Formats: sequence, structure tokens, C-alpha cells
Amino acid sequence: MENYILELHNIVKTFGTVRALNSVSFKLKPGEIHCLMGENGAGKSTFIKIITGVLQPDSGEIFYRGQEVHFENTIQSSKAGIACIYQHPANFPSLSVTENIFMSQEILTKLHTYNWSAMRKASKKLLESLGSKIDPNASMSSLGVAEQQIVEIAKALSRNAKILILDEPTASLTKFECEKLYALLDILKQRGVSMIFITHRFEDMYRLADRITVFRDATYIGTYEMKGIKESELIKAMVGRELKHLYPSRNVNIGNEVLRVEHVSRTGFFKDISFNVKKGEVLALTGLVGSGRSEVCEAIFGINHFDHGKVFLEGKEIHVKNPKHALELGIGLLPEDRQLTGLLLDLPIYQNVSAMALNKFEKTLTIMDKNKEIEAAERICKNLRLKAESVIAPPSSLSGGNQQKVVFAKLLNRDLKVLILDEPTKGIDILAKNSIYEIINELAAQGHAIIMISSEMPEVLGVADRIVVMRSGHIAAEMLTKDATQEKIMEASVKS
Amino acid sequence: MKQFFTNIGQKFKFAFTKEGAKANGKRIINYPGFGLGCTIVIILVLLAFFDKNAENPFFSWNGFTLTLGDNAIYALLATGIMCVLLTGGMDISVGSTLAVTACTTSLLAVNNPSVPVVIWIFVAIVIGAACGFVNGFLIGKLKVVPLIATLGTMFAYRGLAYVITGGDWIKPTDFEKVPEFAKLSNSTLLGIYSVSWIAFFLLIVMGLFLVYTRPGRRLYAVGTNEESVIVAGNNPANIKIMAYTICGALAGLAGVLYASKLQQVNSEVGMNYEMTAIAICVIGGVSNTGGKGRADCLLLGILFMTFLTRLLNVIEGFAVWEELFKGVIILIAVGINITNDAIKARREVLALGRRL
Repeated sequence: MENYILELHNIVKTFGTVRALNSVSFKLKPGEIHCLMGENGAGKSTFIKIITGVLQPDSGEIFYRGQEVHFENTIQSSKAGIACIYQHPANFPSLSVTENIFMSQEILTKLHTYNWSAMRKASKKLLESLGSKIDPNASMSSLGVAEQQIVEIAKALSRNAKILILDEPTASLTKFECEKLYALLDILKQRGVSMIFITHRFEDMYRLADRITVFRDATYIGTYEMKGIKESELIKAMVGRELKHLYPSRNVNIGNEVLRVEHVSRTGFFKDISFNVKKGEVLALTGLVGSGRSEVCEAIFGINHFDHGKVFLEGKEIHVKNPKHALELGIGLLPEDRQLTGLLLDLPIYQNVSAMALNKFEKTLTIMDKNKEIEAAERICKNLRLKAESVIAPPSSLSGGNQQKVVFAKLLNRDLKVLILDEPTKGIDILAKNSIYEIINELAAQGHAIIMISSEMPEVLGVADRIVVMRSGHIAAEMLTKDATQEKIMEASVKS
Repeated sequence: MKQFFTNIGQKFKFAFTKEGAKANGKRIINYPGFGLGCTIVIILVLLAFFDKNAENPFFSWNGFTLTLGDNAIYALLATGIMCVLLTGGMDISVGSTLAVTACTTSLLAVNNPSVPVVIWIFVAIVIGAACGFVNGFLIGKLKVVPLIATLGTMFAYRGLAYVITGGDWIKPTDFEKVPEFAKLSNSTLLGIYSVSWIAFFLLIVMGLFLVYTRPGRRLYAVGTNEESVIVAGNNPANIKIMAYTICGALAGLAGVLYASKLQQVNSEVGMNYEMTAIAICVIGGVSNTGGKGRADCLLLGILFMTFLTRLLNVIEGFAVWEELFKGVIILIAVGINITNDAIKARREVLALGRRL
């Protein structure tokens, strides 16, 4: 008993008729980093909510430091020393860093009013002990995701957390920021904090984990010692079958140049950017978040404008006025945030698919031909192997990977020449990633020119034909994938 | 204590050095109410030119205190509505709540002249709080959209006021039975009417409540991110109920002070007052999406509206244009707020970009 700080036995949780957790057991050793892996929907989020007391299990036992506990809310669990950093930071954007750190744990004066100066001092000290220079008076919304996570960690430390749960903390971090986070977690580990680390990235696991537990389809699959486990075994445990190649191979057939960007600049964002992309080619645009990758692509797509420079499409100079114009010219963009900007989450799938090509389905005047819409959507979705009950269901009922396929379907409904994909596999599980890569390959084989923005090195190396690395608004390097290595890309993106 | 004074002395000396002046100048310009303060100064200058009111010009003690007294009711309502707006809500029923308490307390006071009038203040606050609690319950517990919930209660409370009065006026002659009642709003301290003092005092209390107490800070938290409030272990419904109850209580107080001030009440009083109060909040920089707003800036908003109303009233032949002009000014104020936020956000993004 004493060997584990936290033990869960046979936890069952159901929502209506859906079993979110089916007799799951889990043990956490003191001072270890324990990775929790599994596809989206495997029950990881429900699992941590049960540990923190946001949800109560239907049956099963939880032992914390050898004693059985029943947490009814997060106040109880955090008092006991369990802190959680959620995937979507559960903070208060318009409040200050100080207030976020001390939320529900405020330092009060004798009159039970806020002791602001004491809290400011304490939060400054905490942040400094983590090697961070964040201003405690800054508002949370002025910080980047990485800095917000540091604040969340400071918050956990201010409560003397014994167990820290991190739910996909690296999902929206760049490689460089990840390294910083790893270093920070190492410090915490030395201080004796046990951590449960949820991730989809194998890099995180290799770098941090002592042990790994895998969930699949709401059931517990197994716990493995990090030493001596093979990647293929883990993947097999996670997806339930052997996945031969995460990055499917393809026959590259590169044709003529489709899009060329010459010396484009936008003050404050990027400067003197030149690159081209050819027919049937996948060009990866990588670099740190904030290096101007998305901004360049948004400018090509007409969301923003260039201050200087020229863009050529099939040899002819073009001046994109707005996204509508870009689509007419044959340039499409798959936005980074599929839920916010990519999809109309609560409208049926077929309406999403035809949203970008409405005039294709007009009968008379502006009345839509619903049958034709549904037909087209069904055809495209079938090609993309979309798993949905029907195209009349809304995308909100789909998993992240399938939602992304709907966004692809939307683009494919137009006849496009250039596809710009902004982080196409962000936050989706490994099996869905694999099928997205297959789609990208097929699209390239059909003769599309593809620009893929990505922060994940293995993905860039596995999918792209050519790589452009950006650094603080400049192009730092351009290389063919066959000459590239992770180290080369990393060097180019952080070199000062 | 000695330390405190030496600190102030040092700060004072520092302010007159070159760097000190620079730093303080920057602080003044960065103050969120800076723009509003400037426009208030402009309005005051215009008032000096146009206010040729023979009896009580604005720039006489009488004229000034009268203007403040006339608008104190709006200040009370705006203070309450700020609470609600901070949680990301809305309350358009305060005008009707005001009518309910104005009518009830007037009738009670007129029919019970022997009871000390201060009692009616407490009665009004309790009735107002009850009205606000109903709003809060509908919105917090039953999850009705704030605008719709308070639209419903706006009509309901107005109807209640009509039922209470039976549609009759309570006339100044009725109030003569309780001469003390008029003193609630109209007695003066240092030449300023008590209704202004009460509004000012409560605004300060509200400011302290919002900055220094746990429930006050929770209002901001609910307005920024309701889900996180749950994760932090609080119940957003209770916080909302508190906000609407405070708002109702202040509206109730405004009702009895209104009756005391004007001595002429029926069920139609306070109509559209909520709109002016909301306008004051918006001008005072309280975000209607929640989580942003400060009592000091609200005070500037109140002064702005007070002086502007006065200005539009005194310019000859301008009465016809008053409402139109007010509307345009509100839109301009909102526009300035939005652009300000956008500029600030952009600056933050750029700073973030540099850090990376």
C-alpha cells in the first residue's frame, strides 16, 4: 500500500448509456512521471476528472496516501494536494496573474479582505522560483499558452501539490517551449511531486515518462515500464492493431510550379519571404509558433494583406483581395482552429461541406438543392473515409479526427490548385493522424500543391517533400526532406 | 504611520524630478478613464460658455448640487447594474423595481405617518432585493437568458406597481402628511443633497467590495470564465443570484429616494431609467460581455452623463435634439472602448511575438 501515493481500483463511470470508464485501475508511485496515453475518447479526461473530484465514479475505490477518499469537488482534492492543469487552461483571462494563482486560496487580511500586496509578493516569488519573469500584475489574456501553463504550475505549487496532473500540456506548444516545460517538470520531480502526464506525443513520453499506462475504448489496457518498451508495442496497445507505418509512403510526382511568393513582407509579422510550391508537392512550413508561418499563409489567402512583394499563381501575378477571391483563384486554407473557424459545429455535415461552394448547389434564385448537396457530401465523405452516422448529423457529434475530415471535405468541394493546411493534425489521435496523412498524400497525388504548416518535427519529416523553416518573421532555412534531420530544423528555428 | 508619511513625501518629491514627471504622465495616460476624464473637462468648458441659466447657473454651488441631486438616482441604478454586467449578465427590470418600491413605500409612509421614515428605506431595500433575487434565480438556477428573464420581470414588476397603486397618483398633497419623508433625499450636508451622498457612499462601498472581497472578485471570475469557476470549486448560480440581488436592492433604494425627492409617484415612474443606467455603465467602461469594469471609471461615467444631460438641456433650442445626440455620444463612447481594446490586444500580441 505504502508504495503508491495514489491508487484507483475498478473505477466505473457511465454517462447515460455510454460507458466512459469500464473498470479502470491505476497506480501512481511517489515522485514519478506517469504518462497516460490513449486515443481521443479513450476516457482519459473522464479519468482525471474523477481523480480531481469534478466527477464522482459510479463504483470503485480511490486511495490517496493509503487512505480511501471521496472527493466531492476540486476544493477538497486541491486541499489534499492534487492539482490539475487542464487541456484548455481553466483560468480567468481578464484577471491578473496574481489573482489566477490565488483563486479560491486567497491571502486575506484580518478583516477578510484581499491582501493584494502579500499576494503579489508571493506570486512573484513563486514565478521566480520557476525561473520565469512573468509580471504578476499582467492580465492572463496577455500571456501565451506556454506562459499560462507556467502560471498554472505556480498555482499548483502555491497549494503544495503532491500530485500534478497535466492534460495534454504540449498540444499547443512549440518544440522549444516543450523543452522549457520538460526542464520545469524535472525540477518539480526533484521536489518530489508525482505527475500524471497525458499526451499524444511520443516525444513527450520518451523524454519524461518513468511508466506508461494505456487506455483504449474506456478500458485499461496495461501499464508499462519505460525501460525496454518498443514504440510498435505501445502503438499496438493504443490502437488495438499494428499500425505499420504512421507516415504512409507515396509515389512523389512533382510537376510544374503552381504558386510562387516573392519577397513578401508585412510590417511587424514577417519580412522578405520567398518560396514556391509545385504541383503534386507537399511543402512544410515550420518554425516556432509566432515565427510568422500562419500570418504568411493568411496573407496569401487574403485574410490579411502584404505590404510589399508579389505572389504568382501558375506564372501570372495575382492580387488576392479577400478569401472569397482566393478561393475563386483556386487557393484554399484549412484553418488551425477547426472548431472555431473551420466548422459550423451544430449544422449538418452536408451543409458544412457545401458551405464554401454554395453557388454550385443553387437551384433557382438562391434556393439550395438539398439533395444535390447531400449527394456531393456523401461522395466526398466516402472518399475521405469519414466515420459518421450520416451526413445529416452535425460535426459536433464527431471525434476530432473526423471533424478535421469534414473540413477537408469542405475544401475538396471546390476545385482548388493550392491547399494551405494550418496544423492539420493538431490535437487528434494517432490513428486519425495516420488517415489524415493518407488524405494529404492522395491530394498531392491528384495534383494539388500543398503547403502544410506544422510544429511537429516527425510529421514534417514524414509527410513533406520540402521544408521551409521560419524564424521570427524570416526564412531561416530551406531544405529537401531527404537532407533534413530534426536537429537541422531545430537549429534553424532557434539560432539567434 | 510615520513610515507612511515619509513614503508619501518621497513620492511627492520624485514626482517633481524629470523621470518622475515622465512616469506619472505615463500612468495618467494609461489610466483607463483618461479619455473619459478629458471629455468631461471639455463638457465643463462648454457648460461655462452655454449655461446662462439665470436662477441656478451650473457654476454656482446651488446649480451644481441640484444637477448632482437630479442624477443621483441614475448613479444608484448604474452601480447595481455594474454588478450584473460584470457577471456577463443584463438587467432591464431595475426601472420597474424602482417603481414598485417607490409606490409601496410612498403608500406605506402616507398611511402610517407616525412610523419613523428611516424604516421605509429598509423596507425598500428588502423589496428591491426580493425583486432582484427573483431575477437571479431565473437566470442563475433556471438558466434563462438574462435579457429575456429581466424583460419578463420588467413587465411583471411594472404591473405589480400598477396593482399596488390601483393606477392612481400619490400626490404632493398626500405627502404633506409625512413631512419627514421628503428629508430622506432632500436634506443637505455641506450643501450637497443626501441622495447624492448616499449614491456616492454606496459607489465607494461597491468599489471596495469589488476589489477587496472574495464575493466581489467572484463577480469578475464568473464574467470571464464560468466553467473555470466551477473547476475552482464555486457555484456560478449563487454568484449570479448575489449580483442580481445587489442590483435589485440598489434599485429598491433608488425607488424610495425617488419618491422622497419628487413627492409625486405613480406606477409609471422610472420608465426607461434602466436604459440610461446601462448607458452610464457602458460609457464608464464596464464591459457588457463581463469581467471588466471599475467603480472609479463608473464614477467618471456618471459625472459624464450628469454634465452632458445638463449641457444638452441648457443650450437653447437643443431640447429636440437631446435624445438623438445622447444616442450618438453613447455609440461614439462604445466605439472608442472597442478600438481601445483592439489596440491594446494588438500591442499585447506584438509584445508576445517579440518575446518568442
